[in-house]
Amino acid sequence: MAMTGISLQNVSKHFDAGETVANHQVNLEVEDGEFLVLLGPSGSGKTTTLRLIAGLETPTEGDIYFGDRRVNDDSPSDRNVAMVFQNYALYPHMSVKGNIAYPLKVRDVTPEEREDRIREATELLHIDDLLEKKPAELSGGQRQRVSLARAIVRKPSVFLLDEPLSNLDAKLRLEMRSELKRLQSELGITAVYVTHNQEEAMSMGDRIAVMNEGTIRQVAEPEELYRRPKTTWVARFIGSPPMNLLQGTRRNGAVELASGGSVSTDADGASGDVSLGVRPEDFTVSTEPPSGYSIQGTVDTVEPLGEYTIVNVSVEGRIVKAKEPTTTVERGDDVYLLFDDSDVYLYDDRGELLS
Amino acid sequence: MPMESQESTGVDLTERIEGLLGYEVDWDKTKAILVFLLPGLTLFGLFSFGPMLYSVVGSFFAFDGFDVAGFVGLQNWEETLTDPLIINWDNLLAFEFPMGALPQNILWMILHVPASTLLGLGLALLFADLKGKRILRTLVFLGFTTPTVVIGLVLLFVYDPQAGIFNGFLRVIGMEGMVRDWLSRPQIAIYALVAGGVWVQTGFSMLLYSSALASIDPALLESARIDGAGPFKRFKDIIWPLVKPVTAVVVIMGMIWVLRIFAIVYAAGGPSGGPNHVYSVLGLEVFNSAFQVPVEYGKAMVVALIELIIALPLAAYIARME
Repeated sequence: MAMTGISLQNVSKHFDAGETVANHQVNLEVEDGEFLVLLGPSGSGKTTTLRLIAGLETPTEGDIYFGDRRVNDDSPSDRNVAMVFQNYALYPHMSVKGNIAYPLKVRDVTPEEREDRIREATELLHIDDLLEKKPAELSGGQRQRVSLARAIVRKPSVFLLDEPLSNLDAKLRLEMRSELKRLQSELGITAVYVTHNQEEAMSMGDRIAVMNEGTIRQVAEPEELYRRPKTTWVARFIGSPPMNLLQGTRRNGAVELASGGSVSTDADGASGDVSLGVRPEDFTVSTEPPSGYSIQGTVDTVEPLGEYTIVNVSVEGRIVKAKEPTTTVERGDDVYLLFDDSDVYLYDDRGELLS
Repeated sequence: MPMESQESTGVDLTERIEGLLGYEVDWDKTKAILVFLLPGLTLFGLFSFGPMLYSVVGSFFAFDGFDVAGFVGLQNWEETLTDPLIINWDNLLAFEFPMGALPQNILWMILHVPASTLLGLGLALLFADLKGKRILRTLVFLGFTTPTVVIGLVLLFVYDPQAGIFNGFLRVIGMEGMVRDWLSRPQIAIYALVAGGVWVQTGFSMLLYSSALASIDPALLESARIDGAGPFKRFKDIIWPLVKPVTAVVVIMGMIWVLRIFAIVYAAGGPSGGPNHVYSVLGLEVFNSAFQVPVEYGKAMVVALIELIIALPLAAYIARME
C-alpha cells in the first residue's frame, strides 16, 4: 500500500467571497501512517480542513501535498482518500454489500476481486452477516461499521473521519474508539480524525492539532498537550475540568496573585500582568493553613462523581475547581488550595506560555 | 329510559350480526365511527361515487335531452366505439390525422408526459446549485398556475402565421421555408399543440423533483464523489434511485392531467378540436355530446367512462404507493 504523508502549507479557505474565513493560514504536517486528530470546538474550522484534505473543497490560498505531489486541483478520487461521515452517508437504496462494493464498482474492480475485498473488509469489522440488509435495518453501531468497511475496502492512501462516533451512544462510542484505533494501526493508513471531544482525541491520536477560529493553535502528542499547553486557550480547552487561570502580576521573579499570596518563579525578572495556571488535579484541598503555596477560599459546591470529586472553591468571587479522589469538606467551609510550584503554568498577557 | 328500550328491541339484531361476524362488536364505538365518517362519506358519495354510478347506469339507457327514454343495453357503447370522432380506425391504422379523440388523447399522453417529466427533472437538476434558483423555479412554476384556457389562447398567438412569434423566430433564423399556420396543418397541428402545452406540466414536475433533490443528504453525493463517481455515475447510481418515487407521482399525475385535458384544446381549436377534429380529445367529445345540439347524453357518459377506465388504475397506483 502506498504510504502518504500530508502537508498543508499556509492553507486558507474563504467562503462567500471572503465574507467568511473558515481556515486561515493553516500549516500542518501529517506523517505516513500517523493518526492525527483535529480537535476544536464547533466552528473552529476543523471540518473545513478535513474537507480541504479530502478535495471536497479547494483552498483559497496555500498548497496541499500528498507526499511530494501537489494535490490542490485533484479530485477526491484522484487523491485516493476515503472518508467516514458523521451521519455515515450510507446509500439508503443499496444493501450493505452494495454500499461496500460501490467504490470498487466505480473503479471497475473485477467482480471476483470485489468479492474477496468485501469479504476481507466485512470480516475485519465483524459485519459479514449483514451483507444483504438495507442501511435502514441496521443499528447505529452497525451502520458505523458498514461505513468504515466502505472506506477501507478500496485500500485508500488516506483515511479521513469526520466526527464518526458522535452519533453513537456512550457505551458504543468507547467500543468503537478502540476498534477504530486497532483498525488504523493494523492497516497502517495515514488517518486524519476530526472531533470536538477531547477524550476521544487524547485516547486515539498519535498527535493532536488543536484548532480555534480557523487556525491551528498547537500540534502535539496528547501527553505534551496536557502537560505543556502553549496558550491559555489550549489550556482551558484540554483537561476535564479545564485548567484554572488566576490573574496576577509578576514582579522580581515572583507572581503576586490578585487573590492574595505569591508564587516564586524561575523565570527572568521581567514584570507585567500574567495568568497563573493550575490544573484542578494538581490542587490539594486542606482545611489547615499549609506551609507551601496555597490559595484561600470558601467551598461553593461539591460534585461527587464517584471516581473523583470536584470541589468548587470561591476565591475572591471567582470559582476555582479542584479535583480530589475524595473529600470531607462541605459548602461554606473555609479551605486552602495547596499546589506545588512545579505544577504551575505561567502565561503572559497575550496568553502565551512563559515557563 | 330510552337506552333500555333500545337494548330490548336491538338484542336480536346485534346478536345475529355478531353471530355472522364470529366476534363481539363494540356497538358504541361503531356508532361513533359512523358519525365521524358521515361528512366524508357524504361528500364522497355526492361528488365521486354518485356521478360514477350514475354514468355507469346511464350509459345503458337512451336519453331524450336529459330525460331517460328507455334501456338500450350496449347500444351507446357500440355507437361510441365505432364513431370516427372517438376512434377513426382507418386513419388510425394509416397513422393519419384525424384519428379520433381516444387515440389522439393517448398520443397527447405519450408525447406530453415524458417530455414534461424529463424537462422538469432537467430544470430541477440545473437549478439545484444556482444562485437565483428560487426566482427561476417560480418562473417555470408560473406555467402550471396559468389557467389552461389562457395557455391555449397564447398558443394561438404564438403559432399565428403572420403575427406569431414562432414563425417570426423561424424567419429570423432564416428558416422561411418552415413558416406556416402550425395549428391548421392536420398532420402537424397536434404536435405543435403538445409542444406548446408541455410547459404547463413541466412546472409541476420541476417542483416535485426540486424538493426530492433538496431532500437528498449532500453527504451522500460527497461520499459518492470520494468513492470515485463522476457526475454521470452520481446521477445514475445515487440521485436517480432516490428520486424514483417522485417520478412515479409525476408521470401518473401527468397522465391523469393530460387525459382530462380540455381547455387548451378548446381555446386553440374550438369545439371541433382543430380543423376536422385533428387534435380533438376525449374531454372535448364529452362536452360536445352533452352540451352541443344534437344532445347525445348516453354517448357523453360512455366517453367519460372511457376516461375513467383509463384513469382509475393510475389513481389506484398513486393511492397505494408508500
